[in-house]
Amino acid sequence: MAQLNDRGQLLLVGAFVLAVALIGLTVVINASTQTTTVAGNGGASVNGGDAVAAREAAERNVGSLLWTLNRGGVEPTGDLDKWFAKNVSYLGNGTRTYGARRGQFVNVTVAMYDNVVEPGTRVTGPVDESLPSLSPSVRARNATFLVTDVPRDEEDQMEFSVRSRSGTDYWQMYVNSSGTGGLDDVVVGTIGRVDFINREPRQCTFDDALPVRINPADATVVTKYGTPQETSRYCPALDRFGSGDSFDVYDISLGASNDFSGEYSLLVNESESSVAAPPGGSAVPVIYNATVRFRYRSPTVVYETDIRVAPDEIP
Amino acid sequence: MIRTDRGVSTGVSYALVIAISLVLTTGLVFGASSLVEQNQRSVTNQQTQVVGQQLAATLVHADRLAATEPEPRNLAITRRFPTRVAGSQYRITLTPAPGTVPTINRTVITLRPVASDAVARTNVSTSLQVGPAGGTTVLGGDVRVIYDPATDRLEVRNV
Repeated sequence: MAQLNDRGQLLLVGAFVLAVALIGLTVVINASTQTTTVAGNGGASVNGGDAVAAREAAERNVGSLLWTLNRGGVEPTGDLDKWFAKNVSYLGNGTRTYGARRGQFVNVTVAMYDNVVEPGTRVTGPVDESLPSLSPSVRARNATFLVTDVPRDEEDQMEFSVRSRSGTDYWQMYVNSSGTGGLDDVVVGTIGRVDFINREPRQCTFDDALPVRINPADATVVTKYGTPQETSRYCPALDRFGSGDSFDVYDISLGASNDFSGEYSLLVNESESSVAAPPGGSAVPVIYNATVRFRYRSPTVVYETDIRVAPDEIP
Repeated sequence: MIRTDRGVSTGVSYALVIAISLVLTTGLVFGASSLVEQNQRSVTNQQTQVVGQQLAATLVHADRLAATEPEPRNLAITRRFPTRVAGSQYRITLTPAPGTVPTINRTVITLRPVASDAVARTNVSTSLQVGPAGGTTVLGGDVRVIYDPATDRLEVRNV
């Protein structure tokens, strides 16, 4: 019996030492794992990454609404600006639902204050000899040209041109066919003078490009427009037309021979009443340069800013 | 007859057990304390670095949000950092640093635990200036990054 009592004491000592060792080990492990907890604390929603995404989504949605409205995609009832303001407020809902679905309540509001939009006119018509020449007081906010046929001309005499003038400065964009290429080859170029300095002519050649859509605002040319082979390409010649050299006043005149075929679309800052519809074309009221208020509120991020929405407009 | 309980005394056994337990426990505590201390220093360094990098990321996000044209009317990002790292309070100091590119503002974020000589530094580059030219110091814990439209700067404050 005496031997059994001695063994019991040794077991007790062993258990005590083991318990102390386990407690010490637990302290060490807990201290280590604390670092991992800190590193894993936080994410895009806490940092504000979601606010950036929400702002970009709102800007894209409002721009899409304005773009659709101005191109006749919807038929608004009543005044354009009021209809636009009413529909803008609905656009925050999708983003708010997206935020809530990710496990964090996010309140996103997109709204218009003071109805900050400007009335304008979209002038459209066929590219031919009856192209309009706008008054010097009219400023173009956007210009798009869709050329479906360019006549072959060995001497490059037949061209379609757009001239923008401000005082003694001028800028001219021309479109003609390539003298050496095939019938569908298109040349887009610019010449001009700004601040009494003649700028070096530039041009871009697009092989087998028709129909071609020319966007001076972002200096791009869409070749084979409307077909499955449609490709958007950057044209350095147009770069200075849109943003590189700006004019305070646009005196836009267009000229083309009868052999050209295509369409143009100009967004100008005057209301419909002061811009006459060109022969064979139309002048419809639009709104542009909209400013909306964007608000993003989550438990960690408060962000409120104004967003200027001007899709396809010249800066 | 062989006696198996020769020299065995209850008192001696008890004293021996106590002595052995004391020696073992003391050895374990001393051995483990240096290990814990070393680990605590490592944890302090890692935590301060993590907090510094998370604050840098928040500053970059705020800078990106404030870069819109026109400037934001209201911008505040709140981060909940631990009030203590490895059991010690700490201070966060943001100091402007000279940069080579005029349009980019460099800021050094320095974290100093009160009970330790460990220092963690993180550099961050933003388009906006962070805090006043003399620098800003805040305590560790809940921190808010605010855009101040009046000074066109990012400010870091305690919540």
